[in-house]
Amino acid sequence: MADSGIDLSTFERKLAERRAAREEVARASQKLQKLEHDQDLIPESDPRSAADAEMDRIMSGIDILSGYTRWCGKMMPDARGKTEGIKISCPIPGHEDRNPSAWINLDKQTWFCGACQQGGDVYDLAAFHHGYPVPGYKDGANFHELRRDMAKDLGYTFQTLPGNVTEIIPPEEEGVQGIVTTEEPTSGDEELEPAKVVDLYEEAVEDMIFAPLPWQQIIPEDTYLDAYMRATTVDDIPEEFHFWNGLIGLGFALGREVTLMDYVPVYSNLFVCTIGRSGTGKSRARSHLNDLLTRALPHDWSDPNSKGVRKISSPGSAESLIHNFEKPVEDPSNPKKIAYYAPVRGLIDFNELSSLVGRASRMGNVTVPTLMQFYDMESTVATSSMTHGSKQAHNPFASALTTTQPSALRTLISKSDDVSGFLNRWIFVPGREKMRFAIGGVHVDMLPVVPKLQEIGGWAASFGTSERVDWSPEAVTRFTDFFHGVIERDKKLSQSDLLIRLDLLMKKLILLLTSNRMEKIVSLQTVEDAIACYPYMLSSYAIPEGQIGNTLQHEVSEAVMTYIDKHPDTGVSLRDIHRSLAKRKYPNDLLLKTCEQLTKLGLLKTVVPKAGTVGRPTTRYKRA
Amino acid sequence: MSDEISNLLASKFIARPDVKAIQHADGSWSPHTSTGKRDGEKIRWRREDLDAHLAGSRTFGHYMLSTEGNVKLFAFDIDLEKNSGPEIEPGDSRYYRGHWVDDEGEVQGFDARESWLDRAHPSRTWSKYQLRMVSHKIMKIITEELTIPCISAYSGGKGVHVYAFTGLIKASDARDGASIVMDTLGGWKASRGDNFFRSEDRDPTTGYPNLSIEVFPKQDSLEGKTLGNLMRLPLGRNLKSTDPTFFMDITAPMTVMRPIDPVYALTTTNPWKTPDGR
Repeated sequence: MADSGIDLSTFERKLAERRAAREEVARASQKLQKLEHDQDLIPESDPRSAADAEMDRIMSGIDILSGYTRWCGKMMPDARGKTEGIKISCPIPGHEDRNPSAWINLDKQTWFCGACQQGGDVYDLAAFHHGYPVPGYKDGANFHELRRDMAKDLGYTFQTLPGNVTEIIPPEEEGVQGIVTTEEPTSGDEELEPAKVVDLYEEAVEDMIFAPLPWQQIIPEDTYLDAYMRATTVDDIPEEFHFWNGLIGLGFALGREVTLMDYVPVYSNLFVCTIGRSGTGKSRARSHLNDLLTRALPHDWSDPNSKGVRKISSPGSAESLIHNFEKPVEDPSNPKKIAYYAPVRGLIDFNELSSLVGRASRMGNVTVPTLMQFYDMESTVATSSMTHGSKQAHNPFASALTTTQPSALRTLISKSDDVSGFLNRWIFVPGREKMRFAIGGVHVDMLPVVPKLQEIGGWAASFGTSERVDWSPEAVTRFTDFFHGVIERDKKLSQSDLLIRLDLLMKKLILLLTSNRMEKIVSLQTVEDAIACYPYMLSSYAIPEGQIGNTLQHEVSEAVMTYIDKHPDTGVSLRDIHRSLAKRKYPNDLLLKTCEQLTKLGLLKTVVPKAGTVGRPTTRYKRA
Repeated sequence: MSDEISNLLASKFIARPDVKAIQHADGSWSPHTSTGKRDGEKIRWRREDLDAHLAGSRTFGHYMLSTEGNVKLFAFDIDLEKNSGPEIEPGDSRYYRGHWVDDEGEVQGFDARESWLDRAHPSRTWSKYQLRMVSHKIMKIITEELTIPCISAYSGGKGVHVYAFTGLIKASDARDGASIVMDTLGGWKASRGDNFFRSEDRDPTTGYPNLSIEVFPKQDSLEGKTLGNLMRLPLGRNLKSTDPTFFMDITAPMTVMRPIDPVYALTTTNPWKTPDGR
């Protein structure tokens, strides 16, 4: 019986029957795929659509910036942490555009030339390069051919198998795992070689070295997390993504009711950023969590006491963000008056972390500080503006989910000083890629997880207003030792702002793992379980950390070269460079190191001071 | 009475209270905003809006999906088809010319949608019969197979809507429910995606070539969109045709479209019974 009073039992039974029938068809289709490639046995539609889906995946992985560099290349765009207004020379052939009059918008993945008053997307760039008519390439077979050409440029090859099945073979050096490579038979009778799955994990994630996450060892059987992982890990998505998404779901069942005893109570909300190449399943992992929340904790806006989860997709501003958590409840005696604001639990979903961080550097944008307030579980988050008036969220409970690609981190963390306070509130989640299903896949059924999560919600409701999850004496001792002996040491060694909240994250994990067992006292075992995850968390922070090093060095090199080019005749001293770049506050030793490296690379040369010059001789740098 | 209807419309139809659409005099729709422009601040559903809608002074539409991807109903929009233009020739799958059967049993040519606007057109009874028949079959399946409440309404324009009420459920489940109905109905083939259906039987004496069925909601979620599918809220007035819209008494003869008390229509679990219990 639904809340509306409608009896849905027959309807739900019919839906279940329909789903079962659909799964049966999917299973049958999968079985068919496993049979040898007999032309008569291959269904025509499914493999073709799988190839199309693979093409879609490849195309969606092409960033417009890299597309511009690859297919236009009139100049090297310099994003410098920006996501829009990135200057480029117009990609339209015939428009030389030495003085760049076009720009790229990374959020929209588009370009526009102010002089030509024309713009487009990455397909247009590739179409110009390959000589397709623009915009005529969108018609008929041209578009199909263009996509093929683009994929070929990326190193993909195409093979036609019996049954008119197109197989897309990835470039080996890309290390895309699990794409089945086969060879064409020499005769109709000869069997195809068995499928080879290329395990190129190490190459694919060479920039992302991280410790394993031992989730199997730390999750007790017959708990919510056990059910979540059992349900989700049947697919080909990295299991680490599921683990952290599962924790987000658990946090929502706890809400503000369940907190961990500390100087400032610790809440169970998490900001999670999954890291992985395009197509690794970041979005699909998210959809399982969404599915679970919709079923187990649906939000009812008309109910002030609803403990369901509201899903908030990429809010464009702080006002919009707070508005989603603002739930005024009318005074029954005077409907024009607001009696109070009801608390709202919300999952804030951003497609890409880079688009979010891009806003941090914009003058006047308060989305990022507002998100930080949500993370910190402030009891009231409010904003007011001339255009939208005042917005306020009372006792909100917010978790956030986003994704990024390893390569995007380099750009996004370039202004590390500005955003590190924001970024250290996120846990960066890399995942070990699994063997991917070439065709079809396994249906992930979240239904068995629903009662488990609802059970946790019921347990959370049993907490009194001042009741908290407390520590057992053994747990206190173990965590204190670990905090002083390991966490503090690692923070000092790293000297990175990103690790500042690592101890808070550990406490959140302890709260979540304790709640997963539905225990009100933190046990020694739970602390040990959290400690077992510590190496993974520490190494996951090292990924963006590593990118910062690369970025800063690169940025300083660019700045030094630009300054030196302005003084081609006289050359410049280190002091000159320091003075000219004073506003950017680069450390002196970094400037010196950069100049030395550029000299070693043969890009700069040092000018020897003339003999007999008055004063201390100063080394000057010039273009080599 | 009006308050009761407003409450029923809100509770049965509106899953997305924070935004709505308003119909303009030319029949077009846009989000209802404070400035009247698309990017203005969106105005949420208020009682006064429902009152204005019921009074016929303004006409509103509701976005079917809540931000969480839930809906309160699934629906079938059964429309009369418009003859295809001269550029589409026989043999093309888009080619269509309307036909109706007169009192003598003779097949006559017409433009089903154009003719509907002419109240004196002799085909009107035939069109009513066809619309009623298809909506009747759909309602029968909803009531007997899925055992959930449903009603049909004249859209005030070019056809009939059938609403099946589920209470707040996932849009994907609602779409599955609609698919069960279409599969059970049989004889309707999806074209232009999987939400739009045409009668497979193109013989006007045995099939329903003059009609198309569009299924709502058309989306499983709002992923990537802010508003999603829009449906006109029933009752009130269709500003394009200026016809009033009403819930239909399905116990009336099949060639008649007769209004029924909206409160009864929205609360009954058995649409085959009249308000007086017959």
